[in-house]
Amino acid sequence: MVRFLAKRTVLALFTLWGVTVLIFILFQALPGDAAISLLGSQAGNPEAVARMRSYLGLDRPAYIQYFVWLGDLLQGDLGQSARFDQPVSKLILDKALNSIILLVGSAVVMFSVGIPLGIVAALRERSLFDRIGMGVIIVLGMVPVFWFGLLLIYLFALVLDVLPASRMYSFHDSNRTLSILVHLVLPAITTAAISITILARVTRASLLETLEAPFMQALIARGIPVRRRIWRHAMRNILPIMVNVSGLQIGWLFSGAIFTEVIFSWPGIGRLIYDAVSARDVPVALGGILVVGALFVLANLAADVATASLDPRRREAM
Amino acid sequence: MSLLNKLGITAIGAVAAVALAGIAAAEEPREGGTLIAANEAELGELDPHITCATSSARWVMNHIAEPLVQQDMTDEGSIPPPLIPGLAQSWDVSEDGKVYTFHLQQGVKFHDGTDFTADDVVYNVYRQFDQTTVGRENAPHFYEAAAAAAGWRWDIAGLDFVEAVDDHTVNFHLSHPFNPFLRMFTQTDCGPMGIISPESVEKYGNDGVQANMIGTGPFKFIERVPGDYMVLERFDDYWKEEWRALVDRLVILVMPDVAARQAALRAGEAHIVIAPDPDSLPKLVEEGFVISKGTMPHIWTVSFNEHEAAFADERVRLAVHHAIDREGMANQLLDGTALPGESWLSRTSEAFKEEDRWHAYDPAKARALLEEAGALGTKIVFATSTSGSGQMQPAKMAEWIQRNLIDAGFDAEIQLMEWNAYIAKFFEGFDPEWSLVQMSWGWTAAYWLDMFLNPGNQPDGMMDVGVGDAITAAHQMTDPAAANEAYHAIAEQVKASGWFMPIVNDTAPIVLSPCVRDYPHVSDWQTGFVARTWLGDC
Repeated sequence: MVRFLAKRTVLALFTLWGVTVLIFILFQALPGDAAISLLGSQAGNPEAVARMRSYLGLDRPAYIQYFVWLGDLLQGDLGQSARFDQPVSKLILDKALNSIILLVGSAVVMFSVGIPLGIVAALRERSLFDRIGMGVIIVLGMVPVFWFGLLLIYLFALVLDVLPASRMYSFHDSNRTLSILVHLVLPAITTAAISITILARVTRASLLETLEAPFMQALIARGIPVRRRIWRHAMRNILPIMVNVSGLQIGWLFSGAIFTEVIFSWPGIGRLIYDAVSARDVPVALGGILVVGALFVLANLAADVATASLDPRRREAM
Repeated sequence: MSLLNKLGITAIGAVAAVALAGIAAAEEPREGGTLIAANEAELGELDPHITCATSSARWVMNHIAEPLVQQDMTDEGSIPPPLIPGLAQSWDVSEDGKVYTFHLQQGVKFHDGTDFTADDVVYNVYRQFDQTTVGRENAPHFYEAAAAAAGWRWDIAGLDFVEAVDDHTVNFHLSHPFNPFLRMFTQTDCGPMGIISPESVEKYGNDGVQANMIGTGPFKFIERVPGDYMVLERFDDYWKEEWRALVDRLVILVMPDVAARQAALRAGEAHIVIAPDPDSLPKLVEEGFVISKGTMPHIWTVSFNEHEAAFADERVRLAVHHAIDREGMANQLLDGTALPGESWLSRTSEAFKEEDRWHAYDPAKARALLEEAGALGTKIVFATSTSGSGQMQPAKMAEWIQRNLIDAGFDAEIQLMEWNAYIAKFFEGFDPEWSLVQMSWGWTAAYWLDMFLNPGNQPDGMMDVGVGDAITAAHQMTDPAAANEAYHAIAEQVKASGWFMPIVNDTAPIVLSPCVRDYPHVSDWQTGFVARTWLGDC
């Protein structure tokens, strides 16, 4: 297991390094840079552009800019944002925490809706609940996140007026924590929507397949009670699959949250990266992508470890 | 005709304004509360000497860092807003127009409690002005980034040096007369000319100003969370009673999605929405919100690529001018949130004349000109961005122009690019494929003409129509009336050349909650000044 973890960690570090090289090359290929973006109407003034490029260090060869950034990174410094004159690490930390709040909220919604829905649908296969539940899931899976979010805002914030329409908290609320929780509801549901559909369908299909497996027939023949058959044997068998899918979905939630962040003006890392790319704020974009990539790798690594601990065959394979 | 035009947005706005005025008349302006504005973009750099972001200038700089000369940012009626004393209570100009003497306000304090004096003016100027360009050494606090963003102002004005005559008198010495000099102090483009506390620069360093901006304005900076919000708070020791802030706090939210901004307004989470969706304005009016709009310096322009072979024939250029329905775009496509472009001068410029008219929309004439030139079916590529600062709704507007051009007998295509890539390609030289190249800008000060018409500022592909020297000569006239006539003549020359075209002028609509009172939509970019705005019952 230790060897497996070490191997995966080294591989992840190489992957992340490769991503930074790729992103840096892509930035060089894009027209425009931070100097042009900062200067606006003066972007046509060659003297102003040269001054700003020199100030930002953009007049150095691209490979030197990259290695300076990499050297700083190895010393724990992600650089400085050209737009905000703030350390990139501070910008990213603040936004990553906001994204993690959204991610945790979405994961709670995903697990608490997706798994029970899949289990009940499998146990009552072809019932009215199964048909309606799976029908809703299929429709939900096809709805664009953008539209779904706007629909929720219209319904719950504007028509029913029971939940806030946007942002992470309100300047009118005195209790910040409670305000965040209330503001989290709609964005969390929006972000989790597609993952719920996947998790529910995988849970249902896996459970159905397991329920029909020969060992389940053997359990019936041995007179094991139904509750025990399902919860102790069938569910235990589908757990590794669900953990794997959940790991992937958590990664998806992180990247998919950018739509939610835009619709609900949630100040997360997705919007930070998007804005940084638009403004050619390379250190912020690189730092943000690195952090998201690292979290994605960690989520998948955690899923692999959890699967291994649940499935002895997988453990041996490692 | 859109619903909005059928109903008449101005009429609705006027009725709503009258109704609100009635309420307001019964109410005394009241202090307190938090005014929340939802802005469409990040607020830019929080240093008046390095920011080029209009949002920053409108919503932040105006409230925190004041210039020597102001426009009356509460005067909605005048176009442009009149010049009034700012941190200078009065000024004199030498007969040769080369020395401006400013007599400063006394008893003014920065937000950090320090006194404002003439030395502070000198300090601020030498932070931005590269003195090596006039053969002297730079000041120790000279800031390269500030020179990049704001240096152009001192270059164009021909600044030689600035001196503190005594604690409350400053002289600016120019190498030549520059008649837009006073108006320049009020213009919000790159490097707005607000004064910040030298002590704060010394304490936090040039790089630290953004997190610690200290000026003399009616609001002081409290907090900024990039990509999220900014909080300003009333400055109780503000020197100018007439502009003392009424609300306790001003919060500016960064909300790039227009649907989210409008949802926040409807849900009572914001009082002001900047850059609303024009299509939703009739509905918002029906719901009781108030639309505020005004005359702006903004011009949504088109430049003709000089390398486009077909444009060598003047008749083809003229055909484009007659083919594009500017009025239809302003009133129908943009629901009355724009005015048709009638001059290369900004509508807020003192040189602009109400009777100015561009080439009339006449598709039959356009087709006839094309036939005469044997150019029917000429391929035109219209280039613009997908979005961007001041770009309004570029994709929709490009499609409108494409349809107009096809109707007149051109073969028209559109090329859309992401904003930063587009602006880079625009200024680095037009793509050879582009025929008509769009960009939006405009200032009240007549040096707007320099931006695209002065050969020194033109990217490759933009035609030099031979007015560079005339612009410089007009800048250096000491008689403002004569200068305005000269600027107007230049704009007429631009029209006659056929190489440039103003399409529409944005009216910068803003949606207000019915609680908002006394929001002044002045006729310049300073339309976000809300020191005298207050929150009433709603």
